[in-house]
Amino acid sequence: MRRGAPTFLLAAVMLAGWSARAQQPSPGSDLAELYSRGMAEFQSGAYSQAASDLEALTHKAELSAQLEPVFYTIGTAHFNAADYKKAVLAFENYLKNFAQGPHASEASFGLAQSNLLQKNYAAATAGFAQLERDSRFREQALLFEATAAKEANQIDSSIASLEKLTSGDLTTPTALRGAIMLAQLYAQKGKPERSLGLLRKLRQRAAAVENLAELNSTIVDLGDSLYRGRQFAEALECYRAAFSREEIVKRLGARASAMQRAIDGNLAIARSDPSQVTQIVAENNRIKADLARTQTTLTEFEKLPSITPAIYVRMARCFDETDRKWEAAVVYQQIIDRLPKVTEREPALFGLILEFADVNEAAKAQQRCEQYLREFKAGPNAETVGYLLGAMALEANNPKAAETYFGKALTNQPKSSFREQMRYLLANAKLAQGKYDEAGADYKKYLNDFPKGQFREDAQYRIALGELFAGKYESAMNTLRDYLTKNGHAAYVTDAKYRLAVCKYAASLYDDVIRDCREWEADYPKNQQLGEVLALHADALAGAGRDEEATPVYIHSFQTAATEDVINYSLFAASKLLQKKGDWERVSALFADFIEKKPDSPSIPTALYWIGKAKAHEGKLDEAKQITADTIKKYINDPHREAVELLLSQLAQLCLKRPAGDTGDARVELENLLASSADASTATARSRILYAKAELARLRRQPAEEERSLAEIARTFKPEELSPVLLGCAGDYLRAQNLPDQAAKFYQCLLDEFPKSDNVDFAYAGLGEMALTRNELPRALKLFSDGTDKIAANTRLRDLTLGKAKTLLAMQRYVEAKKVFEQVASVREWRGEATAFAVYSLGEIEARRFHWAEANAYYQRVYVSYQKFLPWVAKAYLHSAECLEKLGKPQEAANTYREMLRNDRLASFSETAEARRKLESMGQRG
Amino acid sequence: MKRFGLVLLFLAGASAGWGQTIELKSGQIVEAGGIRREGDAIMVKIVVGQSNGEIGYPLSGIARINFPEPVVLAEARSLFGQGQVERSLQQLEPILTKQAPFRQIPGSWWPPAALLQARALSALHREGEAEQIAREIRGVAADPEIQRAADLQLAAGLLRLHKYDELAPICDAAIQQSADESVLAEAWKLKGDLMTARKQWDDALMAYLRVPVFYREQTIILPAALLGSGRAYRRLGDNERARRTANDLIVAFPKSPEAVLAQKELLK
Repeated sequence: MRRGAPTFLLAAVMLAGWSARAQQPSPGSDLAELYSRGMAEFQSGAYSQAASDLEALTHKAELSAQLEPVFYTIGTAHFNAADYKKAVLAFENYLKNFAQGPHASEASFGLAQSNLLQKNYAAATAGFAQLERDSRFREQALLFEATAAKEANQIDSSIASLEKLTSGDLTTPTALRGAIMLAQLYAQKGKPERSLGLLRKLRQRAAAVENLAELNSTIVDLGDSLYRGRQFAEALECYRAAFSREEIVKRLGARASAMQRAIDGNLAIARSDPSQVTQIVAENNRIKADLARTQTTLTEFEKLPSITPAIYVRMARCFDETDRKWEAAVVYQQIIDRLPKVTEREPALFGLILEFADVNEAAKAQQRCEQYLREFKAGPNAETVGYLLGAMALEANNPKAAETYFGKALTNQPKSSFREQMRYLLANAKLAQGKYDEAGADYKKYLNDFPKGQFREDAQYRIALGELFAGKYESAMNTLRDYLTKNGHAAYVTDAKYRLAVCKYAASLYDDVIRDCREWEADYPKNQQLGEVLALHADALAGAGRDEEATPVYIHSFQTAATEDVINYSLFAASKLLQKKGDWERVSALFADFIEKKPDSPSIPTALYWIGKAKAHEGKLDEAKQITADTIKKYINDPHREAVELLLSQLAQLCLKRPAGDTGDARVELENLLASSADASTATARSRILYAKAELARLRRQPAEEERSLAEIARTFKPEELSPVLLGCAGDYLRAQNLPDQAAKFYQCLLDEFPKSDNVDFAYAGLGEMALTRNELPRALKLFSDGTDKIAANTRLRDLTLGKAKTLLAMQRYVEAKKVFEQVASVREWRGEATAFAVYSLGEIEARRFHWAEANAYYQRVYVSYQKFLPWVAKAYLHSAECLEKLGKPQEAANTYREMLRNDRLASFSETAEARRKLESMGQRG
Repeated sequence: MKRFGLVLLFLAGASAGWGQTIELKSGQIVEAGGIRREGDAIMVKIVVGQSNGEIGYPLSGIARINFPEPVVLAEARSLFGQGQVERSLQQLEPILTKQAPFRQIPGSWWPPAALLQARALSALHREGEAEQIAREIRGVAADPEIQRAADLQLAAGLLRLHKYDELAPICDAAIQQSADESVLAEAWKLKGDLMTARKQWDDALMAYLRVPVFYREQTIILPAALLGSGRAYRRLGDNERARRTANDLIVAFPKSPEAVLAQKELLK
């Protein structure tokens, strides 16, 4: 309840009355004296004395119409003196004597207000309800009526009055104040949408709101109340509607400027039209008074701290609660970026960490954790942040970083409440890195420091796991048995029993494994791990040479397995055993069963590929072709189905394989099959048909035809239309054509659109080679390293590893380059030119370090062991001889040159001509 | 408070009746019913008795002309926000023509109208024309916020030329210095585009999201920012949030070209 407004109103009315009365002669000197004194006291603000003197006057004088203003003034004086009980009596007395008097409405209004202030709500409400009909008092009466009803806890009545008050356009301060109150009541009544509607209206009328700070405070309070009621979306609307301190200052400033302009404008008019001076001076005085008030408000508001950071934190929490985690992060980030010195910085930084952790942005979260610990080393959330750093690194599969973070936190925060967790997780981080002995020691330290800790059982179990992974099977078996004895019903019992069987498998104790797995299956027939145990069971049977028994167990395994890995492992293990037996009919049935049981598996096209292959082996070529073509038809438009290319290759092979006497054209058949089976309306399908033709040409050893199809793919289609395999093929084709910019587009698309594809290594290899060619060595190294380390490279792993080695060599990082070349040279599957090149490069590394003997050994290894790869043999001979010259062995060098010159297959190489020159310069003949 | 209401009424009357005011550098304010440019002077119509005439004020003596805001400018903004970019351009034509003679004078509506025109042309992929206009704005606008907005329009060209290192500081400067929500929204959206070009999807998302979080009333820029954030979500593998963003965009701006792209790219 605001007292200022009614006081002002009554005083104004009183002064008007006084002014009127002052011009009339008083009936007697005593009375006149009392009257004059009473009025003077009123005017000077001595309301109690004024009331007392004027009451004395009414007691002495006879009741007459002349005394009407006196009776009214007595009520007003008591009201202004805050003696509402007497004010009620005085206003009632006035109304009894002057029911139709000129101040009757004002007296009724004063009476109702006095009742309100005395908490006599029923009387107040009734009084204000009467005044609603008087247009002069309607708005204020409705506002006070609502206030009285609200105070009496009659919220519905209060809302009804306020709805009447605010039904128009909210043009007056009273209506605006009523709207603010109504918004609060709607929220209280659980009608946030109505509150928000009003607040939007109020925000639009902000220019007319006298006290924006009050409106802002209401908006924020409403938001807080909605937030407490878990109405987060509505609370957010409120916080977003709140004005910033800067905005309020700007609006108040603009208002003051507008008033000043109005004053100046009026003065300009007065200058041009002096007849308006009197009116304009009065108008300007009024504006000046308003201007002074606005400037006072502005000055006071400017002294207040900004509410923006607090509002932002609230907004962020609302976003977080409504699962708009990124938006919450954006708000916290805004606080950190734009409001560097506010107290909300700490909660904002902490909030940002949690949001980034929630959206799996581990690197960003870690960065912010580090920032937090730099800025708020002793902050309220420092311990949590220290713990989170390591925990997030572990979750992001970065156990090395986790080890560092936990190690630091355990040292720097010795009293952290997360010490127990960190000690345990530190051991986990080491276990994940393969530091089994250190992990075991840390688990033991954990058990020692926290003998009753919550991870006690886990630690005991993980000690055994560490031993198992380290290949210490006997020790692991003992630890697992010990664990099982001590923790008969613990969480890891099923896994421990399985691991125990794994240890026995490693020791080739197949019969024990078979028995243990059977017992396991009998004890835990519905356990999620059953698929894995069955796979182990089947492995043991196969290990014991009982393939016939192993096959159905593998099949049972893939049928019950919970993970794609186990499904694929068991399925293909079963298939291999059947293939070994040449039982293609069962291979086909196996994959058909798989398709029926797992119709949504991503391995379906691969399974269909095997069915087709099995049918072909069975001699059912037409059936095989049909199955393959039907499968292609199903998936040809989806570039994400990477097995389609495998199927296309298979179809090409099947078309090529013709029964005896069949003279049909494979190409025509392939085209017919694809035409009948493939929906060639999409670019993806058309490009794949071309790929099938290229495959057929490759199989028929028609390189020109193959190149033509690949060229058409690369030149006709946009990168975004192609599947991963075709992006890789197109990129490689264009790179071979020396069109690096065009090739880059295909590789980049592969990298961006299919980052998890099995064929993404094409992109890493292609882009890496192009960077290496342009001598962009750091970029090349990053691409090759990402290709070898970050993705599970498949097709191009050899090229990626070689590329990495070449780049390291170009960067003169010889020790690292040597390690990688040695790796290439040691992989049996890569035997061939790559090996020759790797061994030759190892020689180059030694030669660059002036290790002539070592270099020579590598060069000799090339021309002795890899004679098939002539370019490397030629280079190796030449450099070997050079090494011998450097070693001071000219005769051996000459012999090497001669041996090279005797090799007819090297005759055309430039190195051979060089060898001949060298020999001649030594004065010897070839 | 009633008195304040009267004052507002008085001002409104003045504005409607007098058209515009010229603030001279001397501090004098001139009410001008009709004005025109003649060489280096602004000619103001005057009525003396029964006769009409003109008084010329040299440009060098004018601090500012307070033109009333053209109603069609708000309409053009609104049309743009609804995706009716061509119609928005049509609306702007008369303002641009009428305000062109005063375009270098503070208070002229030419720079903001031209800026909107540049944004519209850019949205219609007529980048060359947009850049030409942005250059003109840069040459005449006195308001630093308009200058920043023009800089951002020009900077968008750097993105197409892959000059990312040159673009980044322009975005950052606008973000640091501006207090104008339309400039800030544009700068964050452009920064999102830059991060997208650099394939830094998480940073792109953080940049784009500034627009719906803090400047959602900037409906001209909001659809592009929403589309950008949806694409970034998809790149980050968060398809659910990508779809949610696409739905928000389609509901809020059903006629925008971004809604069509969102439907195609994010809801497939």
